[in-house]
Amino acid sequence: MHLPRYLAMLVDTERALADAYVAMSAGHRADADVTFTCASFARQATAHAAELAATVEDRYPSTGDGPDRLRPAPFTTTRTGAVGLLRDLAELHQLAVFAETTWELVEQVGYGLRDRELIAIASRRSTGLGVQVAWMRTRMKAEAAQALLVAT
Amino acid sequence: MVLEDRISDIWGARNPFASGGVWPDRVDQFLVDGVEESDVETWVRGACLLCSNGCGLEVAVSGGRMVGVRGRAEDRINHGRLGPKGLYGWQGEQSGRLTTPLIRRGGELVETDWETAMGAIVERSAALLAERGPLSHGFYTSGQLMIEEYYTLAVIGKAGIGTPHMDGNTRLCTATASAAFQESFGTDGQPSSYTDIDSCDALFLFGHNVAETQTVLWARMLDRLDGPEPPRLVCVDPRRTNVAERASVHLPIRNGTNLALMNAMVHELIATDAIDHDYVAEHTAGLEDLERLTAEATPEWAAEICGVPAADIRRAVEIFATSDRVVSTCSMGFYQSHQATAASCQVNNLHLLRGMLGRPGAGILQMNGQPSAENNREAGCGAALPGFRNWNNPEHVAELAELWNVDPIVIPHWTPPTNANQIFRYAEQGSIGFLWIAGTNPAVSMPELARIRSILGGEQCFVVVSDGYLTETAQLADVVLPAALWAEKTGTYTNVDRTVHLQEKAVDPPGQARSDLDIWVDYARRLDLRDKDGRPLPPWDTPEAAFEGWKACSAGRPCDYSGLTYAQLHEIGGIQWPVTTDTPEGTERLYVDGVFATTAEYCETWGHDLTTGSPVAEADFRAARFEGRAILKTAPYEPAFETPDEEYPLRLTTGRTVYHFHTRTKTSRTVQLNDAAPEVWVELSQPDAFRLGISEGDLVRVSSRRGHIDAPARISHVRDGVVFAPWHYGSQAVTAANELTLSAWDPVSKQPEFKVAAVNVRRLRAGEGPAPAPTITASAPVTPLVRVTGRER
Ligand code: SF4
Repeated sequence: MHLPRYLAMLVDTERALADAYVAMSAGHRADADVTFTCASFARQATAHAAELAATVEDRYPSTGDGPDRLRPAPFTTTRTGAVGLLRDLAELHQLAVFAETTWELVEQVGYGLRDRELIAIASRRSTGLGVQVAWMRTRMKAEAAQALLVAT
Repeated sequence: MVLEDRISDIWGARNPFASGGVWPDRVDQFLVDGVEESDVETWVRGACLLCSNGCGLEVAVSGGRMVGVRGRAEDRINHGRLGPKGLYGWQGEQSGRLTTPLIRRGGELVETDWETAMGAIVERSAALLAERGPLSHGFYTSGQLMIEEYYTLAVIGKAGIGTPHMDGNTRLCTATASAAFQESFGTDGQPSSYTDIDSCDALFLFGHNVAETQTVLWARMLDRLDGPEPPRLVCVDPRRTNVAERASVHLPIRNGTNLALMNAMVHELIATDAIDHDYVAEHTAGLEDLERLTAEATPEWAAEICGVPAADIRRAVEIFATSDRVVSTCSMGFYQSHQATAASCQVNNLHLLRGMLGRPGAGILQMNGQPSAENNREAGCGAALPGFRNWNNPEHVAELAELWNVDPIVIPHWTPPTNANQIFRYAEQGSIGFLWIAGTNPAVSMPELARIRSILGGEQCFVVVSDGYLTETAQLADVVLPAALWAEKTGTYTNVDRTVHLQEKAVDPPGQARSDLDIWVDYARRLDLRDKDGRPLPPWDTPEAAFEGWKACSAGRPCDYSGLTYAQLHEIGGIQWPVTTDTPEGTERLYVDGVFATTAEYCETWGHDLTTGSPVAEADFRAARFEGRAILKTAPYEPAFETPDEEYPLRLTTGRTVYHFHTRTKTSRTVQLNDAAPEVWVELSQPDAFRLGISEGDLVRVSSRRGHIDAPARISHVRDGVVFAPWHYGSQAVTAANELTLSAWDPVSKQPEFKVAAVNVRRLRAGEGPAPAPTITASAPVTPLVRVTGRER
C-alpha cells in the first residue's frame, strides 16, 4: 500500500504551507490583511499537520519517505512591492491548491478504506483549504490591475 | 420652548410615555447671548449634521449670520429636541475657517486664488490620467456631505474617470452596518424605524453608547424607560455607560470578544427552542449551518472568553426569548472590531430566529456613526455602486451605463472596489499618485497615525484636501480648498432610519469658500469629462438638478427617492425612503412581508465567507435559491488581531465623548462643548490604577507597538484590564488615540479595528488636579472628585 508514504508527504506539505504562511505574514507587514490572514492560516496549517501526523503515526506508519518528486519546495523568502506581493500570492496559491487536491484524494481513499476518521479529517481540511484558496484568488484579483498597470 | 443648559443636563427634561404612544414634543432652542427671538430675521429649515440621528431643526439668522437654532416639533426624529452638539455645535463654523485656497510652495502652504489652485489640481490630474490611467486616482470622502455632492463625485469618479479607488470615512463608522445588511438581507438598507422604540418591550444595545453618541435617541429611550410598561434593557459594553446604568442586564464583555458572546446567544436561543419555527422555515435559509457553527458555543464557553457570568448571558437570552417586541441597536463597539460583520450578522440572526422584524416595536437598527454616512453608501461615492447595485451583476452595470450614457467598460466593475485601507496603501506605494480628500481628517481618524502622516506628507502622492478648516490632514496637503459647510449650502441627507432631510442654505460661506458640489463640477469641467455623445459629465451644476439626477438613479432600487421633492421635504421635515408614487409619504419599515432582497436580479451582493471575506461565487448564490429568504450566517470566534502579552498587558479601546464630534474641527471651536471636554484623558479601572501606582489626574504614558500618547488618567468604571481613550484629540502634542491603534480590519466590511490594541501604561508624574474628563457620562470617576474644576456639575 502506497498510502502511508503519500500521507507522510501530505504532512510535509502542510508543514511547508504553514511555513509559507508564516513567511508571507512576516514579509508583507505593510499589507495588514495579508499579515493577519496568513497568520491565522498558518495556525490552521500547523494544527492540521499535527493532527494528521498523529493519525498517520498511529494508523498508517510509513516505512520510507514520501514521494520526493511531489514534495513541495520550501517557500521562505518573500518579494517586495505590489508585483512582489502578487507573485508571492500566486506561489502560495499553487502550494495551497496542491494541498487541497491531495486532501481531496485522501478523502476518496478514506472511503476506499472505510476509515471514517480519515474521511472526516480530510473532508474538514479540504473545505478549510478551499476557503484559503478562495481568499488568495480574491486577494490576487484585488491587487492585479493596480500592480500590473500602475505600480511604481 | 425649553431654554436650558444642555451641557449639564445632556438629555433634558423627561417626557415619559407608554408603549404604543406618541413621543411627546419638547422644543429645545438656543440663541446666542444678546439675541432675542424678536431679533431673528428668518428661521431656515434643515437638520442637525453632528451625528447620524439627524434631528430636524431651524437655523436662526440675523444680519446674515447664524445666531441660534431650535428643534422642529413636527419632525419625526426628535419632536423638537436637540442635544448638546445640536444646540451649540454650529457655532464652531464661525471661527477658524479656511477662506482662501492654499497651495504648497517651497514646502509651505501659502494663500492663492481659485484659478491657480484648480489649475494645479487639474494639471496634475490630467497628466496622471494621460500617463498612467484612472487607477492612479483615489478619492477619500466623508460622512458629512450631502446626497447631491456624493452623487456628483460618484458620477465623476465612476462614469468620468473610471476609478475603483473611491471610499469614504464611512469605512471607519458604518461599513459594517452595510455589510451585515447585505449578507443577511441581500442589500444594504435599514429595515426598521425609530418609531419601533415607542412600542418595544425589550431593548438590546450592542456596543452602542447611545447616551453619548446620539443623545436625542437616548432621550427617546429614557422616556420609554421612565414611562408606564418600560422595556427591559440589555447593554453590551465594556464600560459602565449611562446606558449600562439603566440596564436590566449589563454584559461588560472584554473588548474583542463580541462574536463569542453572539454565537453563545444564538446557541442558547436554539438550544432552548425559543425560535419561531414558522418564520424561520418560511423566511430564512441557513439554519443548519448556523446551528453547526454555534453548536459548541455554550454560555459557559463564552463566559470564559468574554469575562462575564454565564448566568448573565442566559438572562439576556431569556429576555430576548420572552419579549414580543424587541428592538436591537448595534454600533461601533461591534463595527470597529476584527469580526465585525459576523457579530453584527448575529444580531440580525437573533431577530430572524425570533421573527422579530418588520412590525411595530420589533426591529433592528444597525447604527451609522456620521450624519450622512448613509448617503455615501447609497449614492456610490464610496466603494459601492450607486443605488445599492451589485458591481458583479452586468445588468446593474448596464443600467448605470445607460443612465450616464457611457460605455459600461468605463465603470469600474472589473476589479473589486477599493476600501480606504487599501487606498492609503496604494498612496503609500505611490501607485495612487493623486488623492483627493474631502471633508474628513484621516491624520487623526485613521489607525496608526505615524504611517498616515508619512503617506500624506510624502512626495509619492499629490494630495488635495477640501475642508472647512486647516485640519491636521490639510496641513499635509499639496493643495487645500476652502469648502462651505452645513447651512452654507442647500442639499439633502439621510439619517440612520432612512429619514431624508433637506437643509436649506441659511448664510453665505466665509471668504472664498465654495460648496463641494461647485468644486467638483468645476473640476469635471476643467478635466472636460463627457458622456458618449459629448455632453458634459455630470450634466448638472446645481443642488436641485443633482438631486433630480440622483432620483433617476435610485428609482427601482431599495433606496428609491423618485417620489421625493425639495418642496415636500421643506414642508414636512424628515421623510423615510423609499418614496415612490406608490408610497408618496415614505416607508416606515422594510421587509414587513418577510420577503428580503435576496433574488439574483435585485441583490447587492452574492455574499461573502465571513471568516476570510472571500466572495461567494455567483453560481453558488444562484444554486442556493434564497429567493427572498434572509440568510443566517456567522463564523467561528477568533481572538482579536492583537491580544495582551507580557510587554503590553492591557487592552486599549477607543471611543467618543458626548461633547465632541469626530476630530473636533467644529466642537473644539464651540465654547460650551470645548469647555466641557477640553483635553484628552485616558481611563483606567481602579484595580489597574492601584497596581500601577496611578491616581486620578496623574499624567500617564500609554504605549503600543505603534506609538504612545501622554494624557491624564481618569479612574473610571471601565472594565479591569481595559484602557479607554477618546479618539477626538489630534494636536501638535501626542494625544490622538490612533497613534496607538493598529492597521487591521474586518475581512468583510473592511472596517478598521479600533477596539482592541495591546498597550502598557506607566505613570509619568502627578497631575494638576483631576483629569479633564466629563464626570456625568461613561467617563465618570469612581470616587467623587475632591477638587472642583468646574466640570463636575
Ligand atoms: S442627537 Fe445628533 S443630530 Fe440630534 S442634536 Fe444631537 S448631534 Fe444633532
